[in-house]
Amino acid sequence: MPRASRIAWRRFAGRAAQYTLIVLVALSLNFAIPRLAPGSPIDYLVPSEQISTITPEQREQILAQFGLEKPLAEQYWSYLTGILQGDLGYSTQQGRPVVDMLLERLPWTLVLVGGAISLALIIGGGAGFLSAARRGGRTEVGGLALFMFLDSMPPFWIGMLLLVVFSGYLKLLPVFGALPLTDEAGSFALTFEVAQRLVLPLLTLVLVRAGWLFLIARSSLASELSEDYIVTAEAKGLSHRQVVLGHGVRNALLPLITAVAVEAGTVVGGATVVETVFSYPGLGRLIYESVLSRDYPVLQGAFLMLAVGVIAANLLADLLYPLIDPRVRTEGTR
Amino acid sequence: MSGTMLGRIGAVTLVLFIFAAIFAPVLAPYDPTQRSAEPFAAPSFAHPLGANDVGQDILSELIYASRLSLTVGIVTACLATVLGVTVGLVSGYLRGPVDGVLMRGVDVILSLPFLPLMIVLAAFLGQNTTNLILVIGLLIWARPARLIRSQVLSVRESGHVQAARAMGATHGYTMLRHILPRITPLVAAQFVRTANVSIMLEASLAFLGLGDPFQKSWGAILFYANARSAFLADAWLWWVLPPGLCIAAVVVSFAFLGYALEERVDPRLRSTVPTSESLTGLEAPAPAREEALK
Amino acid sequence: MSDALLEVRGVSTEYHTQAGPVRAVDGVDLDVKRGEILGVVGESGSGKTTLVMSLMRLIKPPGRILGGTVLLDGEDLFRLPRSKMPARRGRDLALIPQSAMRALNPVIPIDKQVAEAITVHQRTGRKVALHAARERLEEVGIPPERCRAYPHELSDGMRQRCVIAMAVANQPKLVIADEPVSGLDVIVQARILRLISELRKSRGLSMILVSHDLPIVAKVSDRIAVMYAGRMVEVGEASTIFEKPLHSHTKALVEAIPQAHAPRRRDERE
Repeated sequence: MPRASRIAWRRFAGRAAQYTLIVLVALSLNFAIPRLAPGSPIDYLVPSEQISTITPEQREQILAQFGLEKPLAEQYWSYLTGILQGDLGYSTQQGRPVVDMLLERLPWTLVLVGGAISLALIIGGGAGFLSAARRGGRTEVGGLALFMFLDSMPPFWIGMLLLVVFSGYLKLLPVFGALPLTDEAGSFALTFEVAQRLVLPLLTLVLVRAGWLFLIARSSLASELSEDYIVTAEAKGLSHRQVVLGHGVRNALLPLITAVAVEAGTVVGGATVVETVFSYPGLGRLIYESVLSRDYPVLQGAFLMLAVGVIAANLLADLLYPLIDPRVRTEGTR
Repeated sequence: MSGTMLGRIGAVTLVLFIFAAIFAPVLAPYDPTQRSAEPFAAPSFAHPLGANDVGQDILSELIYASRLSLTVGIVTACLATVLGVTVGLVSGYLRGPVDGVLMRGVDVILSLPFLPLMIVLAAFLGQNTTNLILVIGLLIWARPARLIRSQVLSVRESGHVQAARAMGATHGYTMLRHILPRITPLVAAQFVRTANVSIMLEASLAFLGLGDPFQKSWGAILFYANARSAFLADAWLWWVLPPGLCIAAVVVSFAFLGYALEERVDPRLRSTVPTSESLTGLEAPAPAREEALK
Repeated sequence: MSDALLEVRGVSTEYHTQAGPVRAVDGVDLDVKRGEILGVVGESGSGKTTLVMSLMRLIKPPGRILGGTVLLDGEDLFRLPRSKMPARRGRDLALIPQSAMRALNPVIPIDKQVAEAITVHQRTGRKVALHAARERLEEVGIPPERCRAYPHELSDGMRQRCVIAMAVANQPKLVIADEPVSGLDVIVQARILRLISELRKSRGLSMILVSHDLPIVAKVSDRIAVMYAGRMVEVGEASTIFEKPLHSHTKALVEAIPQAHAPRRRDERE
């Protein structure tokens, strides 16, 4: 059906353009913020301890090295082209390319965020669907109030409490602090340590998000089950289970997917603070460290990577949605 | 228990906290900036919550910290609401290219992860309370702007607005005297929501060390607790538990209040889920999909 | 009495409301002969839909069937264990539901939905069922190139045809149509009614046609039953109901028909 694929293409192109614009804005923000900040850009490119001891000649040298005396437009252009080539500058604390540091930490954050979203979806969403299938979706205000209270607890605080309980009192898990990963060759030991480091941050993030997904899933399924087509399905002779799964859940997944796409941004923010609490070696913790040590290039690089990640996740969900909900496919035609 | 009752609980709790903030010098047993006990002192009658790593009384810290947390939350909410209402009103009323541009901007903002962006901004622009207010407020107005615009779009078609325009009222007059009063309930609900979100964001930023170095908020207390962590000290739990509870209590009070207000805005829309997507304020959602379903 | 396909005696159903229990259906009796169309007329609130749902045993809380018997071909549907009922629905006893606009699942193509009606009761593979589904859809007048469409891509009339195809796919003994044409344009209404008549003729279906619209019911039915406040107040041949309405409510319904809309009986020009 050529018409449908033309529409799909137009839609894809439109969305891609929109998201490219957003990425461009993120890049531009990254470019603009240091230049809007008080003081001169030099303050942000040099390790803080050395700022007071820089000689004027060194200043000149740094300015030249980073091209800071060139006109803004030229700086912007070389900045953009640099990014496309993977050049994100150098860490002022470690002297290493920022890109390398980011790529080291990225897998950790991916595992944490991906795992948290998946688990929260399965546990929270699954429980929500079960609850709606059994009892329907009317929430007494009391239950809702409880959820709101749980949702009001800062994620980093919950993390700290878990840390105290599990590491402090129960002594179940060691406190890692800033210890580097064991270098042991055995991959089992490595996997085990990764798992140990992962458990509490993952648990924290899942606890924080699952309640929300539970409510959404429950309300979504309850609302679908009250629709007319459910009666038709039952009248056809489908069993209750067939109706709930094949029609109810299938349709109720759509708002849940939207919610999860929204989650990407939230969970990334939550991961930032949670990684900090547990000294989990991901991008979030890197942000924290770079703030403390005033390592601005790393901070900017990490922000950029997170921003692009969230934007990519949103784009993906946006493109995935019409595949699941055919009503959206003909958008913009009739 | 109904929504109104929740609203009352929320309001009362908030009033109590505001009271504590205002009367902090009277209520707090010690000056939180002065050392008054042994470092990591355990809770005792003299120091109900013990002392921190420097020897400052935690309870006093907690009471004084309410000032900063609440101030930032409320002032930021004011800023964000004013911005959001202005943009939403103008955009929804004028429509056309103005609306297109403004909403495109809102979409862009909403697509970025808020907390990381705020971290970058706060780190560069300097750590003080004003910056914190600006950094948070200049981003979280986007969501209310959208919601307000939606309502303005429908109010604009109503009889009395059309009549006013027909009688020659200028745009400005119509917006201020006819549309604005009609959307006040929604604005109130959004104000409360943004307060809730900004308190959480301030707490997160302070926890990451980006708070005001001269005045501690609850989030900042937790920053020190985490940074100076002596996990094995018994006193640690009493250092960590109360500030988080305070944050949760204030945030949920705003949430209850917001729930009650939203219920009055439109009881039909009252789903079983609070309309605001996240109460923890750490989100940056993309609204594209909801649009797609329209 | 093997002439009677359906014998309903004393069916009562109540709903629990905030004002107390309400009997939406109160001791209803009715019969449907083989091959006949029984029209059930009543205003909104008379309990017609509740009656339909009760016969299908699709009443959910806060509703509750209080009692009665429903003999379909000699089998009492109300005495069946709950788990056995789905096997009867769609096969022996089918429903054309109200408001076809929302009676179809919006995210599944119509041929798959009709195929589902088939696979539930017949042991056929998916492809065979899809093929059969498309044939059923053609029989009700949906052209083959539209068979893969989604409900929102079809007009109201076509959606109604789909729903009819789904209902008759398994050659049920009895079809219950709940307001099958309300909300449709007048011309489309006529076409759908004609379709229903044809199906009845070609397949020998027995049918209960429920509507608030007396002229429509009269056009197609052999006998008419009038419902009021949960009770069956009059039952008779379609023609006699008009000439000699017995119950005051029937009289009121007949008198309410605007003159230009006066029903023509089936034996006249169609």
